[in-house]
Amino acid sequence: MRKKITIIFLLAISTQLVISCCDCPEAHKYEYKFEYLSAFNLDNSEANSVISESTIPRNAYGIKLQLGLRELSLYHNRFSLFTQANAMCCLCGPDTTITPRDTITSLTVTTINKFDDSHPEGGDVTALFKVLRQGNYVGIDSIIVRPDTYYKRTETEFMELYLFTPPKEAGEYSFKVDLALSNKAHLSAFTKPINLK
Amino acid sequence: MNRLLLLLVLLFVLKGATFAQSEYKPVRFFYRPSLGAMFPTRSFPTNDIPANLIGTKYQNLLFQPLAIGVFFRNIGIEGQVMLSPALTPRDRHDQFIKDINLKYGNRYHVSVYSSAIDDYLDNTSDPIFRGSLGPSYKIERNRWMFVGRMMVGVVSIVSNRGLVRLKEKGTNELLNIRWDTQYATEDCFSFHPAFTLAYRIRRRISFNLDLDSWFYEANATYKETTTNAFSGNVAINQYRYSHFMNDVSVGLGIMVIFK
Repeated sequence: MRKKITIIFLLAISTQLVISCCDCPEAHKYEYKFEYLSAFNLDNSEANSVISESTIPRNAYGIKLQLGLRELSLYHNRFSLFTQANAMCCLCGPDTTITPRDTITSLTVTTINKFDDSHPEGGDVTALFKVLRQGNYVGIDSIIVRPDTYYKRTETEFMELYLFTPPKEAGEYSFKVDLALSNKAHLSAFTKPINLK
Repeated sequence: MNRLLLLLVLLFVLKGATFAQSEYKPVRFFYRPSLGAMFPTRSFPTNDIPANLIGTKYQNLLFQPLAIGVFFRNIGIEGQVMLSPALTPRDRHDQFIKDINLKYGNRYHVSVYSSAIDDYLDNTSDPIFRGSLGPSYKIERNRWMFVGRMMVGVVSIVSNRGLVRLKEKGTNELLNIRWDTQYATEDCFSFHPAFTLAYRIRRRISFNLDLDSWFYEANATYKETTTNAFSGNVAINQYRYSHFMNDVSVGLGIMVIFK
């Protein structure tokens, strides 16, 4: 009698476990590619940075990058006995996952005008900029090394670069941003000429 | 005339209650919940920013869900558990913001991400927990009972963490300042004298008026970490508080007499 009760009890528990661990909805998986790049002048002199076309203080200049993403395909899941295997923690994954097809391999900023004596016209000024991530400024290289920090689940992704070594002289400046992708493609964008005071 | 009549009736009732022969047995074992108002008479200095993160200042309500005592003749022992939340929990966060702006507002745009924000958003505060145990002495006269206690216990003060982001005006410079304590609550030894005046309305029920006072030394150490978001430079300061505190409460409640 005791054995029968134990078997019934174990069966009930096992059924509950199987139901709770495997009853996850099918996840929608999307893939996207980087389609275009736009660059805007940022005025960071106030509490929050804003896109600006008027004169900006040299110490509060930044570039806002807009990465346009285009959805490519819907993944087809392989056949499985269980819709989703989460048996260890009995928690389902996200309903939708959007992942990039390509990775960004380099991001460079070049100055169109002479920036200073060390950075003539067409000079690389990438090292003079930093990216704001979670309340801290990090080097552009660290963003490239850790791509997960810029892969978001949105159709358009923004990245803000802030200038930390301003030009010695006030004047009109413009920058070109180049983005190299793992599929050998390049995206580039120019900021509108802006007066830095 | 009506007032005179009312006064006479009241005097008659009080005389009857006070000098009548006692129809009740002396109290031996009781449970005594109550509700009251808390008045902190001392507080941490407010000119320090992290002092606003310590939750002792604005507490002004007192719940006593549990107080059980037993008497052996007139001497007894009583244990109490009390909670004192703030009725206006937003004041502490407001004061924190005021102090931050006073110190940094001229040079920086201030964004506050303090733990006291939770109190502000929910409009409820984390209560301060108090627990006391000690001897008591009662004097019973008919329906009236006076109880004096000399207890010792713990006042568990809440210390929130604070985080502010300071964006320099006109530049890209950014500072993050955070204030942390080692523990979210700090248990402080307390000396807790208390008095209760009770009037028995039934054999097993009496109404109480409570007067309590807590003396304790509140200790808290805040570490202030200032990080320059661009250079990564970190500066650390310590604020060590060791402050003698006194809270007074007045409460009303009932006493359920089991024996």
